[in-house]
Amino acid sequence: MTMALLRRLGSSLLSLALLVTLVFFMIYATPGGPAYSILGVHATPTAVASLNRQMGLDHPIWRQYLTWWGHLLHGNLGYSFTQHAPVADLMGSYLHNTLLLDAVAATAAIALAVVLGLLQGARSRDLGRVIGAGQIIGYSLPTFFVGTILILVFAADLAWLPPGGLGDTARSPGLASLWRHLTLPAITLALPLAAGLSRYFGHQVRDEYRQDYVRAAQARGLGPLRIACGHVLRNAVRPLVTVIGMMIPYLFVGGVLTESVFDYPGLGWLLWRSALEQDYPTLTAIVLLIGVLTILGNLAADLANTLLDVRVRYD
Amino acid sequence: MTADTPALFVSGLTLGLARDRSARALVEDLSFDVAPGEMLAFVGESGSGKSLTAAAIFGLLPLGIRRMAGSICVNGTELTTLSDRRLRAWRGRDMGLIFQNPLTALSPSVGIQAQIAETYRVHKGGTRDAARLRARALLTEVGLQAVATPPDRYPHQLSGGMRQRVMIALALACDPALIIADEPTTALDVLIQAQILDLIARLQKERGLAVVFITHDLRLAARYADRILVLYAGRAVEEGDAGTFFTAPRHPYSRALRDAVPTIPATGRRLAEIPGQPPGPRDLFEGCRFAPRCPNVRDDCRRTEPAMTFDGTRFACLHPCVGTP
Amino acid sequence: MTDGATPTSPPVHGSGIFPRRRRWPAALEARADIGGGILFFALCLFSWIGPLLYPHNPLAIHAHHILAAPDARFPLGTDALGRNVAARLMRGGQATLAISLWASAIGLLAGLLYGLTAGLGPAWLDHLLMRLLDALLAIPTLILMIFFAAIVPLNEVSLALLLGLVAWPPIARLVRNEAFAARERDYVRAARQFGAGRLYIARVHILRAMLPLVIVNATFLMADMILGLSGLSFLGLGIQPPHASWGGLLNSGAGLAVIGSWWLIVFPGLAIFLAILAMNMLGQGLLARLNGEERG
Repeated sequence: MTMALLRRLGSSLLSLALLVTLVFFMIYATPGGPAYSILGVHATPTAVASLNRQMGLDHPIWRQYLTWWGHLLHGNLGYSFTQHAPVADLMGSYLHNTLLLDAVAATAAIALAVVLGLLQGARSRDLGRVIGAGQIIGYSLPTFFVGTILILVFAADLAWLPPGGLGDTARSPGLASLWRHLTLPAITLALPLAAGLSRYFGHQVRDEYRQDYVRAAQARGLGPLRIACGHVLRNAVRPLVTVIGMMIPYLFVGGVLTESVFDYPGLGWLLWRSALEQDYPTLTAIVLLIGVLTILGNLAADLANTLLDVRVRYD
Repeated sequence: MTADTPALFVSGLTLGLARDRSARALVEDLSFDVAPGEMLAFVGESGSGKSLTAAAIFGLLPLGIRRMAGSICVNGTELTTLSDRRLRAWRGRDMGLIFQNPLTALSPSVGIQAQIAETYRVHKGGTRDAARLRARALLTEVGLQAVATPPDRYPHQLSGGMRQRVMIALALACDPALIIADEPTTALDVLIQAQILDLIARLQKERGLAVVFITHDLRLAARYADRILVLYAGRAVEEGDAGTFFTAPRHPYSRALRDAVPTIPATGRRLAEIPGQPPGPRDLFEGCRFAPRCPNVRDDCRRTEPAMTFDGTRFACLHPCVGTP
Repeated sequence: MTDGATPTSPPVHGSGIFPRRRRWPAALEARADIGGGILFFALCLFSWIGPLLYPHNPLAIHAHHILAAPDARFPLGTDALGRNVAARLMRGGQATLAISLWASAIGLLAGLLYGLTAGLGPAWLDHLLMRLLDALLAIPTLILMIFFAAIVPLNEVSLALLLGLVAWPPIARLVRNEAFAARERDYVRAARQFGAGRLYIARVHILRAMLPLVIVNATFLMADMILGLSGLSFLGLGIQPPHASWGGLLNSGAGLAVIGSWWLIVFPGLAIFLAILAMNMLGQGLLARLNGEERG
């Protein structure tokens, strides 16, 4: 088991290294070369030339590649000329906001998926079909459409909730305001996620319900609720952990769209702005960060899965 | 409960497809009883309705199959009129079920002691610790001293024979009067088979259990059961004392079943085969359902369905076999 | 358990006390592909045949009818410049659907080539390519699309190429795994014994075996492409104004909808939703059929 763990860790590290390399070549391929990508498209030719010399960008590519690694390992992600701040400093608060939104949305989505999946898998065929239709609609709904409709209804028409942003945290701090600002984006982000997860989980539950042990539990006189929560859920939930790991990329994708709809100051919003303003250093740094987080997330999911699986744990 | 109340009393049980009225009944007019301390063996081919009967007793018929008629009494209480909720209290408490494949019938990610304790607490209440102790005592009783200690074990950590013992302990969790064992040894190898059946027989004697032993193996039935009931295509064709049954079966089907059993050492005789196939659920017929395959068949067999008659054993045949061949 | 689909097999198996219930099924899923196909066809009709039946210039500005609500003259209303939303929606549909289709084709081709190379090539190549794929898959598709959309000049051709070249990794992984499994199958081994070349085997045996699964995933890819293109356009990184696209219409309408012009977001949003739904239904339905066939 230790060997398997080490191998899994090694493969993640290799993926990380390849990711960094990939992003390096992506910048290298940007029009105007890496100097533009660091200075931005609005840089003057003299500035580019001086930066090239200064940063050793006139060196052969392998040396630049090593320099790129060196900068990364020192946490130096470049300087954003549009935001006038080092990219690394810039990302802190945005990352924090994104993680907050993602955590809320993911929790809501998982809870909803487990309830829906159990209902769908457990018994009633008609209910299962209704939920099934809801799922396919749920993950066909584009995030940005749901977001704009939610704003239209709940913020503009009913004026129950703020249309976006995170509020002025300095002026009106407090959890209540935070929740009010988080509600609509979190629903938007969680909806398709819950649809996809519950579909997967529903299939899992249905497969479990076909197992002999369910009938055996019925024959022992256990009630449906006890069978669902004490037995079926336990067996069906393990594969769900891996899927939760796989939903991290989705959270970022949905995050970009959701955050831009709601003007939520998160990583996705920053990515969108820096793409529009062609702020390449920030763009690169975020892509890299998202890649790293995805790889780590998958690793974490795999580890959790290993720990949860009694069969692996005890053998 | 007095000694003369049967632990299980089934009469006129008829099971059929809920949606398809043109198909014949899957189990037709089946009646039998099992006294405390007695083992009744159900013998029949696949599809003869023996497992369905067990499911009907537990009120757990698969979707699409319905009980059309008949009554089922356990310990003198009619179960067919109970609501599903009330019936649930009977399952596991007054009757236990042992499945064919213990690996799939045990919940894979719940510890075995926890499963036994859970069953006990659902029916009898009490503290978690008391239920745990009870679970360990039961595991010891079925010969699993090794796993009757903490920590709890998971089913996949046990061997096939051990799992089936756990299954038995699980069925016994609440001291039921009746155990139904549905092909309990089919998934096990031969040596373990004997151990498991010996264990069931021992518990039957010690605890005065009524046991319904479902099997397709006539030899096992003859060896362990007190009485044997032979099912063919959903109908009881012969029922009688295990000893006389094996020596002098009256129904041609029973005899054919017996003659298809190989003996050790081999007699050198060819094993008898039964020509043809048992009827499917959509094959309708008049007269005796074994007639197309029967060596003793006459014209009247194809017209009249034989009723149960009593002559030494109970059997349903117009032209039974006579004497001991 | 007893409908006419399986008249010959007995509904009850002797083994096990409770016969298995029939698979949850799927009338809904089996018919979903037909529904999805019809829906998609209808959207294509709307986009390409619609302008013939309703010939209005999507770029014409009706200065006296700014932000007009849906009525007889403008069935879907007008936008902030007084342009006909219905006409823009049709033209936007052409752009959205055509680019998505091209992008899917490009992605499919790239994925097939990469996957077959990895699956049928030597082991070291497979190893290398798969690691690279892992790294690529670590960056979510839309994020990569945004990255490249910020770099390249945006027009219809570059968008189709960009979307297609970003979206292929999942297809490549699928193809590689299928090819890997297929080449160990007996009939492929037998073909090799008879001296069939790698390319011949790839074409005749392996591609044909995985074709159904590839088609199913191509429909999901198409759904992703529609979502991706609309998402990019919504973010202002896709089809550039004044050219119409569904995502772009939604983007320009979002601010105005809040002050009452709901038709500016509802119709384009619905169009995107229906297009994605059509593709997902088609894919799910085909998948259900495929699985049904495998189960027998």
